[in-house]
Amino acid sequence: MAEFRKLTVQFDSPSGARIADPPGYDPAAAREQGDGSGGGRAKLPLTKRQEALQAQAFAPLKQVAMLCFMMWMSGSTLHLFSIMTTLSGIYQPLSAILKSKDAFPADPEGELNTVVPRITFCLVHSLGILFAVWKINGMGLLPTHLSDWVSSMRPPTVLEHAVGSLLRQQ
Amino acid sequence: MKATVVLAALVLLCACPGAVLAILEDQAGQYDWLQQYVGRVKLAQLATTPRPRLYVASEAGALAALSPTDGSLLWRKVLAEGDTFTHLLVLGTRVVTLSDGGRQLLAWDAATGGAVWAATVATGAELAGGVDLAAVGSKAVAVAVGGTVKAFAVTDGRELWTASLDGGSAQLFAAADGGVWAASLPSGGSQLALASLSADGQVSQQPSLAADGGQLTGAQLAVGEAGVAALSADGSSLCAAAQSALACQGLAALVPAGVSVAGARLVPGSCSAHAVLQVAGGAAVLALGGSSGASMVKFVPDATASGCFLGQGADATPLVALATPSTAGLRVQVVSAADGSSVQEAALPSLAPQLVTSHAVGVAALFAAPSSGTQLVVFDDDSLALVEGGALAWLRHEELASVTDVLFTDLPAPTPENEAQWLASQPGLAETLRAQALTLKVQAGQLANLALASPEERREVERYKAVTNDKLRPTRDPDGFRKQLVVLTASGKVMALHTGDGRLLWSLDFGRGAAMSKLGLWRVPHEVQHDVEVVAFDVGVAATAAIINAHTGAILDTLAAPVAAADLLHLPQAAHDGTADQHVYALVPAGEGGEPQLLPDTALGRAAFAAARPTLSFWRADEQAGTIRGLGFTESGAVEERWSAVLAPAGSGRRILAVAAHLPGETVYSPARVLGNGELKFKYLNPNTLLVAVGPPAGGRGEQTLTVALLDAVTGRTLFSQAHEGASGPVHAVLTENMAAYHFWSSEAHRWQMATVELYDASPPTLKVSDLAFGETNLTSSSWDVPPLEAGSQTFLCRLPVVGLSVTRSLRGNTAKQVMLLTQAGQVYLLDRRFLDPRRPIVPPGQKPTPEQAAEQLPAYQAELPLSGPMFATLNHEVKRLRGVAVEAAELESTMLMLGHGLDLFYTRLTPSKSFDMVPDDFPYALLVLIVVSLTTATVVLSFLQSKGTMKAKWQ
Repeated sequence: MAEFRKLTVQFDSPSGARIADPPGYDPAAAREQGDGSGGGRAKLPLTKRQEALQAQAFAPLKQVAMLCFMMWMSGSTLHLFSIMTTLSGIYQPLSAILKSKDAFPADPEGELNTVVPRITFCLVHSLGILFAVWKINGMGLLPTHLSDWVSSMRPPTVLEHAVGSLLRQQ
Repeated sequence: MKATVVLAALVLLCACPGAVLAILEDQAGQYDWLQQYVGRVKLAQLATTPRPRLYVASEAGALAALSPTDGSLLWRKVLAEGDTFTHLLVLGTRVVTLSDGGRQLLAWDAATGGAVWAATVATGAELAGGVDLAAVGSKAVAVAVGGTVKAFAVTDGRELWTASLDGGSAQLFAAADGGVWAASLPSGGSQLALASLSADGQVSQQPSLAADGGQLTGAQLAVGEAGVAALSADGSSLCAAAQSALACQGLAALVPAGVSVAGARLVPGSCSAHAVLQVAGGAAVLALGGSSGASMVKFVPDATASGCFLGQGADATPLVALATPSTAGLRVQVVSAADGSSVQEAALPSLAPQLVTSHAVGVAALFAAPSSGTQLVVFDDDSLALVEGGALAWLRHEELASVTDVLFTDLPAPTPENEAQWLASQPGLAETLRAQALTLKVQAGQLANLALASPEERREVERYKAVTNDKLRPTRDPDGFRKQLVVLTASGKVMALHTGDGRLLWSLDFGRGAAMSKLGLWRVPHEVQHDVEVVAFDVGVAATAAIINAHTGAILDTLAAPVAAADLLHLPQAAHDGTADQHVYALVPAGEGGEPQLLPDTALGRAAFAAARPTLSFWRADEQAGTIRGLGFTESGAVEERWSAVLAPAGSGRRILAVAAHLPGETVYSPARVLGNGELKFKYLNPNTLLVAVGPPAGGRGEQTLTVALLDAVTGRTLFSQAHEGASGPVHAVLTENMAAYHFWSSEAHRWQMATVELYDASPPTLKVSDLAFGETNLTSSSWDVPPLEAGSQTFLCRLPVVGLSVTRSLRGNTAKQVMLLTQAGQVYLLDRRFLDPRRPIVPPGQKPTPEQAAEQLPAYQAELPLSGPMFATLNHEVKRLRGVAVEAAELESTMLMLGHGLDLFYTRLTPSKSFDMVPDDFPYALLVLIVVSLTTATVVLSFLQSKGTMKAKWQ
């Protein structure tokens, strides 16, 4: 039995605009129960856990392949769809790489090797980025050609000046 | 929800009307204005019936009707270049003129200016003795050519009668009985043959008048019933008679002692017994008859007289109007020719034009209207004033019809004082509220398609808009749209106009005697609050330069250089003296060996010249001798010849038809050009390039080959040359960046043609991306080190005959270039440079351009250049006798300002690449505000609803 608590409303709640939960309301209770695997993993042997990690490192391969396929399908012309696919093709692997620490947390006991799976994970996503860069190049958006630098070229400074008479009627 | 908001905003913004090509009806005149002039008036007649009108003919060959009320132009007809009116006569509803040196008799409808009939009255051979025109009654005109007088009915030009006279070519004078007097002067004699022609052409020969010793050949005559006056051709003596022998007397004896009798002339008039003699020192009213032939009734020193005319009333007193200029104001008087008594006299302090020397501007001519007390004054500076009842009715600045040079300068920077002045000139609160209410009424009427507002209310709204328009502010704006036009006129005036509506800001009159020939910038201060200074050069026997404050019109200084300069050079780099950019000019004497005179001849000017001298050269083209020479300065500063080329030797039938150079200070955005395949082509950018066209002049015989060469003006080296078979002058050319375009006549095709040449650097490419991305490219180019060149050229047919070519210029050179064709009709056509590109691909009919060709975005080659209505910068206006255009870049890259000048002035803004860097003026700001407000409201409402929903869900 839950203890009887006095009903209070915190008006000066730092959360500001957020609506305070009614007393006794547990948002977690409304959600479904988690998979509960966190507790089970610890019970698995070390090799199994290592294998699981490795599998987790290769898991995005399908996702990256799918992204690449979508990028390839969207064509190399400049359209809204191809631009959006290419942008997501860069953004998704990049954010996955940046968040790889959360995906492969260091083992507090030091038994698991998380570095190699993490690097593998990053490499798989880098493949996706590479494909996206190749795609951008295919779209002609990389300044790899002289013509992309035309506006930054300055006309040469002229060393001599030949002027005409102002009195001459043009 | 955020995405929804953004999407909704995008959809709404896309739905807004975008920029359009053509202008809307209410945009007409928003950025452009046209001022129409007639030029210096030499003939005028004031008509009172059927309506009061002023008919004037100018030296420039314009015939116009002006409203006596406000001086507005009611209609105007302009003759072909070089043609002018010699006689003007207004009879009822017709204006009859003689033009083309007396060959062409034309009758115009007085109300509309439409040509009614024309008659060729003389051929070349008959013109030697002169042609004269006079009215025969009120229904016919008589023309005397050689010994024949022909009369034409004014209504339809029917020839009424022909009469032959003895004694050769005659001068005609209207007679009081409705006929004409014909007076002829047999050459080499002292006889005056006089004949009277009745209204139906009956000739009654009068006895000849013999002058007692006077030589009458070529004399000016005044003939009437009561007397004859003849002023000898050398202007030294006057012979006069009352229908008996002519008594001659020297002018010096006639006028008061000490008065200059130079430039004597008899002013034509319509009195029978009086004549008006105009001399340099004043005007004399003469009575004909008596023993001495003529006696002086009145002499007014320094005055300019109108012809004698008959006043109102039964007695029809002969009257003469006289105008005396003075610094206190013009004095106008009307005197009786009979006794010299003053009938009307007025001083006009508001009409006191002055020269910079503080002398009053002289009166060139005076025309008086019979019986209405109205006088038309033509000043020496070409301005035209109407004096009505002794008060100034209006003043027209006709000197603006002869603008010879234009300079754009900045207006003063905004200061609290001039802002307050501007606000004070604005309408008050009540007027503003009323105007806003009327505007709403007009707009509501437009929406509902109803005439809610009366025409007066519409005009009031327009007036309000015109007065409050920002374009009229007297200060500069950050976009550089408001500027000041400093113009130089042929009459020696320097005038400043506001670009908003062409209003006159200030004017300085240097007088006709000062041969003002060029305007230039003098000092451009670094501080915006300081005034810009301009210089006006007078390059006569001894050159002088007047330094003028461009914002106040005050003469700050006058520099004199005791040299006769053949050339005036503007040094390419201005000198910096801490507070301003000082422009330096060099006056170069003719020939070689002379030393230039610097303006300003100060340590700063000398240092600037010494710094520029080693790399400075200039060129001289002598069209007569067919040579072009390049000159420079030795170490001691003396002029030396560097190179010369004889391009059109004398006797070859060929001439130098055009020499064109780059406009100084042209900005180039990029030295490279991207081709369709992504490769780069480097332009050959040499601002020292000269285009010289040599060939037969227009209508010239001989070898019909036009040779066009591009020369380097520093070394004289020929960069490119090509010949057009079957082509001749006139040639007009323009150079911009690496392109030369020229317009010529193809006698083979019997069409006008335009050709273009583009020069490219053909040296093997060495530039890499890494150089541009990481390296610093600091390139220089020298005329002594010319790379191998690749030239592309193409010729097109052009439908427009031109009087000149020019090119648009923007601040950074990034905006699309347009070549400006100044047409003979007085319009400015903007031709996109891409249409003149030699690389325009040749696409066979029925085929599509290849992707590479399409990528270059050049229109497919067509033999004829396109002509499209919206590309006329002058819109539906014509700048008659268009002589040139001045183009100035605004501070915004997209926009440039243009002034076309000829007989008229036309100003407009040009945006060759459309207004890509500014919000269009018709941008719906109200809609934008509405969208933002509604989106904000929707956001607030939706977030309230969301929080309410969450609350409800949690408490369920």
